[in-house]
Amino acid sequence: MPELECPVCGGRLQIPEDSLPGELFEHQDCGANLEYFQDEKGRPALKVAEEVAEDWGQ
Amino acid sequence: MYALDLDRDLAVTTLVQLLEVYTPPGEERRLERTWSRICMALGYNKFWRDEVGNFFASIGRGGRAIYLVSHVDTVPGELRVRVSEGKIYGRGAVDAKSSVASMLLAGHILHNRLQNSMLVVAGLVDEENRGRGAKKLVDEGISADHIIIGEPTNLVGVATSYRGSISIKVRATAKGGHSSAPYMAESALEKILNLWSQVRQEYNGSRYEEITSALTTLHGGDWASRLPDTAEGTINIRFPPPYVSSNILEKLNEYAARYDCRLELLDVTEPVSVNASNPVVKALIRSMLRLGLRPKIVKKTGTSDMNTLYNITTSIAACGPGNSLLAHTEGEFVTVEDLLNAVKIYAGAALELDRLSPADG
Repeated sequence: MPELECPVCGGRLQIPEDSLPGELFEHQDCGANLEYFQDEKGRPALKVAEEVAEDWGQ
Repeated sequence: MYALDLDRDLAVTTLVQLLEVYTPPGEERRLERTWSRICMALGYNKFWRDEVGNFFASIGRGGRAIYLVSHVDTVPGELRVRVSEGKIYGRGAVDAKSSVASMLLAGHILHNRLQNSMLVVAGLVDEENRGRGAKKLVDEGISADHIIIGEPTNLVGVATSYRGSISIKVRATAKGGHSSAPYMAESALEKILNLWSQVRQEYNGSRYEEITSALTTLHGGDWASRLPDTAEGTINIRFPPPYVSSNILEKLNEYAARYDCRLELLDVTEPVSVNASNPVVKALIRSMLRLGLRPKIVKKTGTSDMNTLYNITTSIAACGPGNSLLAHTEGEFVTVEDLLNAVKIYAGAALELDRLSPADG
């Protein structure tokens, strides 16, 4: 299970082996919503997820 | 990980059959024959209705229960059903018969694929009215480990939050009088408008995070020169978590006393917000990513059966095909492509949930 750095607080976050690029994780320590991705060299990393969108209606 | 194949004509035919039966709240029983016919065609060997008229179909025998839940009623206003240029039109094409069809089709392609779970597809009644169908499931105490709600979220939206709703009837009486001397008279209509003005001032939000209010009906007066001695109206308040209905109702009662109005509570629905890391959210997101789609977490300004069914399990989220801006409009349609993708999203998410270890699920 890879351990990655939280881009918000610098803490560590464990990600499941079978994680898919685009998958979202909440960092329990700082509460940040993070998106798993692979950088240009194919290395696993985390970035801040897109802000939650508002959707009208039911 | 898995291939999920689906016949396009079967998908279109399934949705068209659901759309061809007009089912505003209270008239859902019209769908009974169609539901049975669809379930038999899709290979379900168990399908039934409960005491309030909710429709069900199930596959699998595993120890866990995964529920795919949407609703079979629509807002009133029948629309012609047609299929044209890759789009399916009709009342409920968005909200929410395309979700119902996709969920039934997901169960169809999952036959013999689930190892640990029973899959139940539920088409609830009365969602567009008082939510009797969902309340029945909570009152009955059904056992569900995970619930996916089928509501329009533009296919790739995963809704983790819905606002709450309060509907109240406001009534006022007054001595009335002649409009030539209003300073000696008293208007019931003005009492309600004074109350409304106060409510509007207090709850004047304009986005999800704020409490909003709307005056939705108003009746009073019958003559140009007579001040009305009775009047009534309806106010709807929408509120996000962490607000709760009790605080708002307390304030409304205070205003009613101040402006000499009487309140009748028509309906209260508490808001809901779930953790974006819960198993259903993760399963839906992973299913979309496998299909090459880009999921996003959304919070909804309205309410849905998720507000009620959250009381059964916190592993819950809403997701469904169709542009939510078209819901309740004369222009409801869903694309065939969205319908097919929704089937695969639901089926893929159910497989993800089925394969969770018991500790995770």
